[in-house]
Amino acid sequence: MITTLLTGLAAGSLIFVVSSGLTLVLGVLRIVNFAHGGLFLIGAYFAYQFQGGAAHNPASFALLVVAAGLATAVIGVLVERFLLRPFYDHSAESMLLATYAVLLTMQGAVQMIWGSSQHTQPRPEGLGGALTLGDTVIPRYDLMLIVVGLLIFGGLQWLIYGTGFGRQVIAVAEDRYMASLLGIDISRIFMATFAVAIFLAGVGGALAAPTLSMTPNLATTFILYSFAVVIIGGFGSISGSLIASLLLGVLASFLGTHAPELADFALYLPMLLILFFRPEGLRGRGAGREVVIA
Amino acid sequence: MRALLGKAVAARRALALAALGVLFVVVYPQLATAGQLSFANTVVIAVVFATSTNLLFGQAGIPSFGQAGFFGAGAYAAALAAHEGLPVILCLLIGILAGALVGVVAAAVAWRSAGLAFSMLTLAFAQSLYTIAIRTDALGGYNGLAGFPFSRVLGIELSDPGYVWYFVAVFAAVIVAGFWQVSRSPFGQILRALRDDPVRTLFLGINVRAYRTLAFVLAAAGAGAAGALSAYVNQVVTPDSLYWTASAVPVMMLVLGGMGHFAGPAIGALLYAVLEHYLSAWTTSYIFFLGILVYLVLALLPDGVVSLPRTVRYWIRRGGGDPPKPDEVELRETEGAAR
Amino acid sequence: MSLEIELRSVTKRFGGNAALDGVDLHVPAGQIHAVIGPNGAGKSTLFGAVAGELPLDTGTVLLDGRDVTGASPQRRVRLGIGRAFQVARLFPTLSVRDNIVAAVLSRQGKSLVFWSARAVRAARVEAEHLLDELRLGDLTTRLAGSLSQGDRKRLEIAMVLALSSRVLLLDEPTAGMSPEETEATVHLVRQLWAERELTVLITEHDMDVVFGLAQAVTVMYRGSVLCTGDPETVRARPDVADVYLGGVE
Ligand SMILES: Nc1ncnc2c1ncn2[C@@H]1O[C@H](COP(=O)(O)OP(=O)(O)O)[C@@H](O)[C@H]1O
Ligand SMILES: [Mg+2]
Repeated sequence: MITTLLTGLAAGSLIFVVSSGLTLVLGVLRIVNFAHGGLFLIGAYFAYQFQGGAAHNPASFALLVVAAGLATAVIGVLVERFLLRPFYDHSAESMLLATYAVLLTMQGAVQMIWGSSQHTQPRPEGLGGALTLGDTVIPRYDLMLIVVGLLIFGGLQWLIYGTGFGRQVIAVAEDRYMASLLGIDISRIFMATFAVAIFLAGVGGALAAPTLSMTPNLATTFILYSFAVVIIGGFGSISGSLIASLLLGVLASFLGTHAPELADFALYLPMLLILFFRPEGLRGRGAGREVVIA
Repeated sequence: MRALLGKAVAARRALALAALGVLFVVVYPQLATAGQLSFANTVVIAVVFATSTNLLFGQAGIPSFGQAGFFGAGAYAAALAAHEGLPVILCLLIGILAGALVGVVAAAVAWRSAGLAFSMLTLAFAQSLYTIAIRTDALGGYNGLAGFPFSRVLGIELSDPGYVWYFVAVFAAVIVAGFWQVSRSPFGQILRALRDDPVRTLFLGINVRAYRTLAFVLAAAGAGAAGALSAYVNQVVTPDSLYWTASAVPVMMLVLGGMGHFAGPAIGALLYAVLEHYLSAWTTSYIFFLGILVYLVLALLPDGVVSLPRTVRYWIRRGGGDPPKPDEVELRETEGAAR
Repeated sequence: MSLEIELRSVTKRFGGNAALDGVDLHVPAGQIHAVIGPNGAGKSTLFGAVAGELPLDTGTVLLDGRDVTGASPQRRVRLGIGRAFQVARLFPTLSVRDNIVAAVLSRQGKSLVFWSARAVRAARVEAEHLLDELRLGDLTTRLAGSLSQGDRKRLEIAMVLALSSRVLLLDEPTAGMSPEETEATVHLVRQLWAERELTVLITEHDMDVVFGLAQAVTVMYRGSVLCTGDPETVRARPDVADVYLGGVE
């Protein structure tokens, strides 16, 4: 019971790390960024590349995760600056499709560099086993994921509410026209937001790598989770995406143990319920007022 | 006067094009290899899929990213019907109906949101159908359905490749003609108005929701038709046809071709099919190049390849700069004719 | 043909701020009635209340004595309400003619027909007649998005006429027009009113337009009605001048 819960929370934390970035971009830049999945994928393969197959101690694993996140963020910033920016004044469909084209290209690139066969990544030493408390078994890696997820949530809250940068981000998300009148450099905020979001995508990839077998198709699966999180949590709401991620993770975990044939529907049941009872999402504001960074 | 003459010329040109098309359809099986014939079927199905999707994107301004759901619904329904031994025509009609019915359900769900959320919801809806398909034994799970021969019609063995081609071509032509008619109809007229300004249409006494829903259902029926045709041609239906990335395909097609023109999606479908066909034969990582090409067309020809001649003409005349929007050109030409 | 409009203690709040605060208004059938007041007085919101744009907080809206308070904009269009917006709302990527066609099709109730193009052809003919009648014939094939401010406003009036509306709601119809265009518009409105037996509710900043057209004037200030009366009486009131002199403008 507790094990199932913790496994679910761990999975949810991982989903949160990835989807919070998508939410951030959605809230501030108002882009549904399919490429987010591609950058998550790149983060996972970067971690694989950096690790070189060897098992590391937790400290060097942490370093590796951050390095993968930063390297991914660099690619993300280049993508934003050179590939997405030209589309900001285009229709929403072209914007969406441009990010999709970037996703395809990234998936193709990963396939060319690392091949389409499965890769596995050992867990770092010291995070491999499980803690046993009575009859509950808790994998150490899961505990680590939960802690990291909460740290990232706290970090984002601090970044947005505790810093001047955060205030500018909120201003741009609320009304970019007004923000520009106030002298805020919109394109700088866009780029910085994107960098943070893609750093999170990369970190998410690196953290996910040891928990699954990597193929280029990971990108499209994780995009789905993130979309579900956004719909359930509310457009652009970071706390909403935390709640939704944990909810999805736990639900999937419980269905997985108790009703495996329904596990795949873990994404859709909450989505359907939300749509009928609170279409704006748990923490969203509703159509036309989609932007909440909180 | 010149406008009238222009109309007559255009009508004659359309007639000539249609005649050429018919000729092509008739003689193609005699000239083509089995592989080429099967590729041609794929293209024709893609044309139906992209054309129906453009009713949403190009005309109504409804950004649905869940069209694969209706395509798949049509494919599975037609396959099941064929399994029951129903005649081909009936199987295809059942496919269309299935697409439309699933479209009604999707509309009821997805209209609870708007804009970007709508795109994500339609995507999620179609994806939920994928999950249902892989979890339902009657639908063959991950393997999908196969081995459902379509029965003969009027004593003609419709599994002969040549006849399959004729049948697919005629059926597809009827569907595309239907969408052409929709685009010219009062309903199509109102859809374009609605795309431009929903508030104005509301204050013209239009029930915006009803129009959007009808557009959605018609497009879903078209996608169902394409799916049913693909089941008939390929004799196999897999859940992959429902996976969310499959929903991006018709959108790529119509953006490649140009969604501001009725023929744009068809041209885009052809282009996409050719690209995919040759790129995937050449390298397994073809999506890398596909992504780049789609991106380049989006960036350089935002109105699709149908705008290529116009853009080139403009570049030659002006020596650079952004090409004019299609409407402005049209405008200048009609004004010229009036003088 | 024309309709009577009546609002009884209508209130509409946006957040804490009452854009309409217990407004009573009576416009007899067939009257040209002007609503004036400084920017932000609530004139456009008043029009919205008549047309059904937003749900009201309190109050009743009656058309020819029929309660339409909860009725949708669509339903009110069917009852004869035609609205032109302060910033003209058109279909910018459609031709001027097809802008009118949309209105004609809606009026005929043929707009859900998706299998035949015949009604469109008929509607185009009608649209061309209407455009000629309003001396907009030169613009028929122009894109609505490419029109000048004045022409946009006139096209919007034409769309409303194509609906065969019985009430014309004109929100600052001459805003952005040259003096000649303004004069032509005043002339047009008076002519339409006479020929088509319309009730006209109009807001305007140009006092020449107001006093040249209106048979009754209502002055609004901060969401309330300051006074209603015939133009001369209203013009003579000192508090009306105060509102304008001390007003936002
Ligand atoms: N949709 C809205 N949301 C919030 N406030 C509004 C809205 N529409 C109007 N208001 C406010 O209501 C008041 C009246 O506005 P309006 O009716 O447009 O005045 P007028 O047309 O007389 O200039 C103004 O203070 C305006 O800011
Ligand atoms: Mg106003």
